Amino acid sequence: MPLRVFFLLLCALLAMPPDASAQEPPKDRCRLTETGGFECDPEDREKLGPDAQDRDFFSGAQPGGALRPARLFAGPGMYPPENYRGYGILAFPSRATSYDRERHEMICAAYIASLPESSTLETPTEDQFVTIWPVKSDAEARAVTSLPLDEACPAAIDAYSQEAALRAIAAATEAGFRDDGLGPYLLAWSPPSGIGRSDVFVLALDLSNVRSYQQALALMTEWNRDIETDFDILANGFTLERLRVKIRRWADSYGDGFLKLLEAG
Amino acid sequence: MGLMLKLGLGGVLGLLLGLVLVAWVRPATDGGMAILVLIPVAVCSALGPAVAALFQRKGE
Repeated sequence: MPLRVFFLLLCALLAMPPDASAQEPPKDRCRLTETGGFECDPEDREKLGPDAQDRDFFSGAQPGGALRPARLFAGPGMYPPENYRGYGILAFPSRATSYDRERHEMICAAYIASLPESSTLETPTEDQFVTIWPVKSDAEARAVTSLPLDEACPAAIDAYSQEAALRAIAAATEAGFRDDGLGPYLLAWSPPSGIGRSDVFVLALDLSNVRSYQQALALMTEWNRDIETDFDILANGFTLERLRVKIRRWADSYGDGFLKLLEAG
Repeated sequence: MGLMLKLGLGGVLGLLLGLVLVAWVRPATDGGMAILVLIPVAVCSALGPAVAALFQRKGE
């Protein structure tokens, strides 16, 4: 009996969270203090001035900062987009028809609403992680980008490049992704140049179960969070932090279904 | 030791393990929290009598 307690306590100790802040020094020159202000290196403070520091912190204009999700309507000539830290794609396996056009528009609206247009961000492109809506031609991509938000989706759906989407799904499948749903899928690669290879990490989010705008928006928000907080962790080898993120994603994916099962039973 | 006691002790230890797991993983949904607590409770409860029997046999 005492041995059993010992083993279980040992398991509990192994599961204790690592102190991530102690492992890595902060990347930014300025950091948030306990009192809510900013603490910067004296030289940087002199160069920037207090207002400039705060403005840069919130706009993300400093290079080398956190990964910022963005969106882009891209034609074949703009694909893959250059100078971005990483890129993903919203891949529909099939074109919209009169039967499911409403669903495509709903997902497109959530895409536009949750991701800022790449060119409107002050963050440099090398700190942006762009999620592409593939379009049949560069001219159509530019035309869709220039449209007002409420007119962009119908045009983007008409001009959707199914060829690019199917190529992306095939490349992701090569790296272990399983497209066993209705789609669409949000797919992203690390490194971005590794698209098509089998040994690269593919971040994937399945939107097959999306039936309402709220669900689409929730999954797009999850995608943003995956990119901002988890992508580098998930992409860079096996670490305890990666294990933690994987367990969290698994628990969050299946937890609600599990609760419903309990309620039904 | 009675079977129910073994199951109960396993369950309590599983609950502790589950709570440590939740604190470490920090799931975003209630379902995520529930699944992370209930799985260790179920596994530890199930293993409790088996592990106890193993130690009893060793003791003999």
